[in-house]
Amino acid sequence: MSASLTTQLPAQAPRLGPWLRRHATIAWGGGLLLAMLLLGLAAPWLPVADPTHIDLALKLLPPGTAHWCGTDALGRDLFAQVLHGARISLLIGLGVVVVALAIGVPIGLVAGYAGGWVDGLLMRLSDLFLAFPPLLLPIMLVAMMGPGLENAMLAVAVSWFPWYARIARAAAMAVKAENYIVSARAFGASHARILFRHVLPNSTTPIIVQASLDFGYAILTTASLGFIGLGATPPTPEWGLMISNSRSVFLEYWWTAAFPGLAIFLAVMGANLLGDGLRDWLDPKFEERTA
Amino acid sequence: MSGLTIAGLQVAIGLAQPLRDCSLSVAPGEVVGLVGESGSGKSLTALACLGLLPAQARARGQIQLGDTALLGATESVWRGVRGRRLAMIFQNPMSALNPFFSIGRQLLEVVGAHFAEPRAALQLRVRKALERVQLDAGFADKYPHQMSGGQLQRAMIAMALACEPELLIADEPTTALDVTVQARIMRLLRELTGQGMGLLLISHDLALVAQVAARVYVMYAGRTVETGPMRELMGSASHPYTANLLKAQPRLGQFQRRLPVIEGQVLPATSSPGGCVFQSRCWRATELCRLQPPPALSLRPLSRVECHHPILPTLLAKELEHG
Amino acid sequence: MVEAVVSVQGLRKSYAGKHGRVQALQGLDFTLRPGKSLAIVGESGSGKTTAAMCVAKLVMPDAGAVHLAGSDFLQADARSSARLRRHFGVVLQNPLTSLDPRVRIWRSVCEPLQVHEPGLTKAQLRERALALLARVGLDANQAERLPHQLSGGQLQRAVIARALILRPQFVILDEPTSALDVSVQAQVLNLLCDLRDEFQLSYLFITHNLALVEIIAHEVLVMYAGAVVERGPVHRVFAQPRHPYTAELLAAVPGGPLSVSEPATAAAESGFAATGCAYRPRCPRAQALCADVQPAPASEAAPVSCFFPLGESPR
Repeated sequence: MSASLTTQLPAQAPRLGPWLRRHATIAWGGGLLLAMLLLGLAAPWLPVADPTHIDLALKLLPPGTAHWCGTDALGRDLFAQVLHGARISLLIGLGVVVVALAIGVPIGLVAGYAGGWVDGLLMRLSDLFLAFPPLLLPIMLVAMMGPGLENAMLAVAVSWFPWYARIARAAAMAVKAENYIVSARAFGASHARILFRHVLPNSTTPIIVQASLDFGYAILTTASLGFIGLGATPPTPEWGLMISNSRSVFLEYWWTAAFPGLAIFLAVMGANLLGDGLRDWLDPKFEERTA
Repeated sequence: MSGLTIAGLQVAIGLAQPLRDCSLSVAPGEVVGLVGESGSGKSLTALACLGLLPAQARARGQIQLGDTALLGATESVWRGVRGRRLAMIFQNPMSALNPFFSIGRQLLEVVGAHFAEPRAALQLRVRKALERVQLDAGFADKYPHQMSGGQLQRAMIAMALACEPELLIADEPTTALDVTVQARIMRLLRELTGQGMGLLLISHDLALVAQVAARVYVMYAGRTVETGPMRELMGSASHPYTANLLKAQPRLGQFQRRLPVIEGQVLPATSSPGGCVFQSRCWRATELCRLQPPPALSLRPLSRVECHHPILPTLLAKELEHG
Repeated sequence: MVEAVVSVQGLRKSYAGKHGRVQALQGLDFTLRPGKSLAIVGESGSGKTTAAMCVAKLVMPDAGAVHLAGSDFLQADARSSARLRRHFGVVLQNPLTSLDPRVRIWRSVCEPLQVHEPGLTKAQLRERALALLARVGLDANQAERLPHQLSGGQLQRAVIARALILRPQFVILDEPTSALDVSVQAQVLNLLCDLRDEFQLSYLFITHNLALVEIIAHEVLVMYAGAVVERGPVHRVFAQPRHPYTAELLAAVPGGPLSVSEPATAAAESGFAATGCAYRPRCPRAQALCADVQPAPASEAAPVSCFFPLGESPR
């Protein structure tokens, strides 16, 4: 009985070790992001200082044994801030991109696949949002909805979806002309079926690449909103906000901008690696190249 | 006019060896065909002659154009050869011409690169080149998107001939064209070669090559497996692959309900067989074929076949029944 | 009289072009009986692909009727249309792009079954797909692969299997072997002939390769500039072409029986004439009448669309 169990192991079950080695970019990128996120989530229970504790006597201390990343203009420990900020900043980046995708991709796919007046209508609609200067629309939206991190994120996502709509539309238009779509129409597949089973899966690559690049911009844009008081509000330890706060002192006290900046850099790099890895993995021909 | 000689050409890319051994020659002014299917290495051969192999390709062997050794030649040697002594035309004329510039402008660029003459003299060359391909002077101002497939191919031939090369290599020049246009282009090529220029015509279509070529080489899995005078080869091929190729191509007026097929697929470029490259698909294969590479036999003058058990002309009819 | 598998009348299609309307298809008629196949030959711009697209209702023609399984396919509403599609299969030119690159072969093959017989379980679908794939020469291993892992010939076999999974009587094939090597083409052609004979299929075979027509089809339509210029049984049309274009086409085939070393005309490729007979600019027999009046398209009664067909001397 036990002998037959081992022989029944499916030949295709991927073993994690070799799989990760082959898809190194996913491993490194995803690993980096995951590590940062876990640290951020665990932050309240880790033995670090309170990031909101102000002590003016300790202000602008350079990195040392007591404060690994130094302190900011209000004496708050930067390391603690960066750590706590991981959760907030990463979730901001993720949230903005996910919401923008959720709005933009369906619009773009339907527009690209349907063509005609549907395409015209949907694209004019998204052009409306595209017409505003990049930060103006989020500012307007937040002014209408009130300040706060969630509103800021939603505002940025809503102003960003047209980019994804355009990418999705272009991908859908290219895929639509392929023979397998024509064949599917020929044997009577419904439009819904074609869209979900054939157009969407084959359109993901450019979207993923763009989304991973935007991750960093999402963090920065939300930080800019916080900078003008329409996003994260102090004392929230959000990385972008931390950099904004340091703008008057960072030339002399480099660590006030360097460490949050480094954190953003690592997060963005992780996202890019992950995006590259995902794109390669989703390309059906990749397996052959590296096998 | 010089002739082209390729001896023992091998090309490796990474772990694959898409060209295992190619040897052919084109005498000055001769028209020679090179026939093969995908994976035969025929296009790589053409690229090697012009030094256009991909950067990671490693080539060995010899390519001589007259006195000039081409393989491994320096860039300055190539500048004097490409376009001037040796020219090439490709399969898809639409993508081989720059859509941004007019035909005349592109032709001017080509002649300008090789002849240090005043503009008026260069313009004259351009006009003559267009005339040779039966395009009237008005075409000099046209852009690629304004021209038909046949006209574009003529324009590409004009560009190739603008500097009056000694040899033209044509890689599937008519595959992308309609059959009536193809007939006209083939006729044009035949006329042009009558004026002393050599032609190496590469194609998968033996019948097409038969219209113009005096001799033909057949390639399979990166090797030149057979060569001979055109009529002889068409009448009685010695290599089993060639024989099957001739039979497998449907021909008008020769109705066959079942076309002879060879099971299996072309040897992948990554495998290195000990014996004959065709052995796994050959109905005449024996153990010897699997173990030892076939010798190059010369059964008739000017012909050569790599086979342990070549088809002798008298046995041809009986053999092909098998297919 | 045996019922026709498909019957097409008066199919027309035009597009807005750069210089006014382009008549891509002018009045196509044909009827296919069980086991009989029709080939449409022509070059680029002949309208042969438009014809296939219109018959398959992938492009909506301007006028005409397509009778399939007792209904008028073109007039049917969306739901009935979708149901009628099970009565024909489609095989297109490039096998690599005819299958979804992310879907395994067997799943692609049984997709039409999923659409038309939703009650089937996954196991039943797989079984039927594998059975048909075996019939076309692909084993279970290959059935599990993704398209890029198979060769062109193998892919085209899978596409043929998909076209036949619903057991239609009628298959539309648009240049199914043009992208394949000669030896692979031979395999696929043999397969198509075997399937045709075994299942009594009717093919609508679109091609520019005249040699294939002799093997696959019983009747041939020669198209030029959107109109049928000659039609009839394959052997008769090829042995005694009556339209000058048919003769030119036959003469242009390398190695064919009519092949002459000097093709009929050396004129630079000129387009279709806008008035009168479209073939006139290339025609060695053209007279003044040909410039003014367009000959009626070929029909069963008058199978040649020409005022001065071959076999009758021009005045």
